[in-house]
Amino acid sequence: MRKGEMIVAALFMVVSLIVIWECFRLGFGWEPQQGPQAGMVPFYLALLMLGCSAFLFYLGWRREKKEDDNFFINKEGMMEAGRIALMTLIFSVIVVYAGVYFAMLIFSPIFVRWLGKHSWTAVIAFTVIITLTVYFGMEVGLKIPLPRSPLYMQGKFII
Amino acid sequence: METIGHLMMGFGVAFQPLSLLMMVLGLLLGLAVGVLPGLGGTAGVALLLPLTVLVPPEVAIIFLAAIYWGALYGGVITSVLFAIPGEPWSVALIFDGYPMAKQGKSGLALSAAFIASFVGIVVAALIFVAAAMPLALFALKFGPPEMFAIMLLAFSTFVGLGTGQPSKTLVSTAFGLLLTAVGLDLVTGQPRLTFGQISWLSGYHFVPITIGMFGIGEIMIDGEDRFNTEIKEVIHAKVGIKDMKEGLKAIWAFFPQTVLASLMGFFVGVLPGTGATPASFLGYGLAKQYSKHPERYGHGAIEGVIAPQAAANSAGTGSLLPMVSLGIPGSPTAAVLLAGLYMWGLWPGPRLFTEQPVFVWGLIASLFLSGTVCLIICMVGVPALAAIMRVPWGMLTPTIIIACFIGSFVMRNIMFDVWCTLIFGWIGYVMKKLKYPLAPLAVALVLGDMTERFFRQSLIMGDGNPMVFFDRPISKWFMIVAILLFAFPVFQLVKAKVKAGKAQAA
Repeated sequence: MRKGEMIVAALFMVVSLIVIWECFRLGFGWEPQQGPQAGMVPFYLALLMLGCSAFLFYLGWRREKKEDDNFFINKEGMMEAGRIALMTLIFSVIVVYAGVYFAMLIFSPIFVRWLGKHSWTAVIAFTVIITLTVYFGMEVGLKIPLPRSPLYMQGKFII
Repeated sequence: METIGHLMMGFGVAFQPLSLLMMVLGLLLGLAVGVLPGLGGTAGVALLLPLTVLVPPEVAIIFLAAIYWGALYGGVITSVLFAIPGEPWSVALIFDGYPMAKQGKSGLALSAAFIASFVGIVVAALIFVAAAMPLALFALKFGPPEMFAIMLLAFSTFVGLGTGQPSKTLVSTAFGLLLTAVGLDLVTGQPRLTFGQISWLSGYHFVPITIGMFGIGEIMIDGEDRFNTEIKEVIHAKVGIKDMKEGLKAIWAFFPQTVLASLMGFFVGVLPGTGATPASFLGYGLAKQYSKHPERYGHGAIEGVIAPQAAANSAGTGSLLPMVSLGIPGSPTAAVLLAGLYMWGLWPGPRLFTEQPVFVWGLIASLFLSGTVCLIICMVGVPALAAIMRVPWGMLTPTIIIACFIGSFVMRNIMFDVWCTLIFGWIGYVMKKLKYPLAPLAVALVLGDMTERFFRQSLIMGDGNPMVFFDRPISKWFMIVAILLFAFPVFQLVKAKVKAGKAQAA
């Protein structure tokens, strides 16, 4: 937890410094006849965030390392959180480059099989049902178009 | 009298077939959200927000509020039956609800909790009816300095009254406010904090960030916890007529306590820094402290189920009062609803009451109606709702993930929001693990633009002199209270140091 606290506090400090640097470009003072410059509010907010995160970094650094004080609950939990993070990454990358339907057709079986450890029948049933539900619910029912693949855009494929 | 006329009109709106249909749909979705541990009320409302453009605003708000009420009711079920809180505000119900269930009184515990929820909502809705209009009229006197002061006051409640570490609360708030600053500056039109990214020019949108933090982040926490929480004995339950009768009797026996818990819950709910979760703990604590039999608590005392649940539901309703009348959300879920208001082109405050009476009074009337309908659904639907828990994790989680990403995308139809959901999901996970409070961040995301605009307008009014906030009678007091709340942790620290010093000297 100590390392986690310090890393996160340091990241917030970096973000604050980037914002402060940007505010120097924008100007954070008072423009006569105009009012506050564009960077004024972000500048002081970033200053506040910098101060608080520096304090949190100090608290983390001063803190002693204790047993059962880890960032993750246990090793298994850490692996699981990592696997879910990876799955969300996979899903979003496919959505962005190949559309929602490809994403669902690839993501769902991997998730249900790999993380859910279900039988192949369940995997196929889940994938088919979720894809059809999204299609009929969103595109047919609510008439909200979802992103599709470049192949669809060229008229070469149905999704 | 005027209020009663308005309320009648509101019931006219709430009883329209479309409103009724959407309300029941919202309640069912909310109940499911409340039962599922991996999905909270805030994410649930945020997920469905983009779809509300398909119906008129007065129906949309009834629908979204119904999800919130459903989630408030639904958390009860898993707490009592499985000792797993479906929502943070139902943790306090485990203390006595689960022991009752183990004694074979699960039906009674559930029915008492549901009736208590109902009492909580009705008490809160009555205060709402009485207070909404005067509060909004009071806000008529507000100019930019007052609006800024009240927003500052809202943020200060997180620091002064919230449970998080003050520095972390401040970092969360500042981070949220900075995120809203990204994009074109409202006053000068300059691009700021965009670092040359075209897609950043239109700014970060509230919905993908909220869905990421409260949806994806929560899923990751839940997945990790899977290897820590031992599944306790699962108790099956059905609420029978007998349970309902006994539940009613129990509520009647503890009626003063129930109403008191509801009143207290309402005021806790109105403050942005506190919400349904602290309200339910407070309700439990107060009931225990002033009970004639405090020793019964923790071993299945029915009043230990009633008080926290009445307080939680009342707080949920209370959090909507400042949202509608002042534009200050009383909880993260209310913040999502406020984002909805802006999305539908509505402006909270006094103008809403005069220009959109159908919207305001429809919402208020729906409080009574949803409370009643939800009570009925819960009473008959417990077995079905408890069965939702049996949906395997390995199928539920991918469904929620898919819903989260689609929900954020359809808001603005841009791919940038997909990335936002992903990144803020991870950020939310880490922040939550390190106990950075996310509620101030959600509120900051909704209020950010407005806070900055009012701040700058005020400064222009005062020609650059910050004393403008202290020169005006109303804003002066808001500012003083806000500053005291911000300074509160420092007082506490000094007090603790003095105490420690004395202890050392002695």
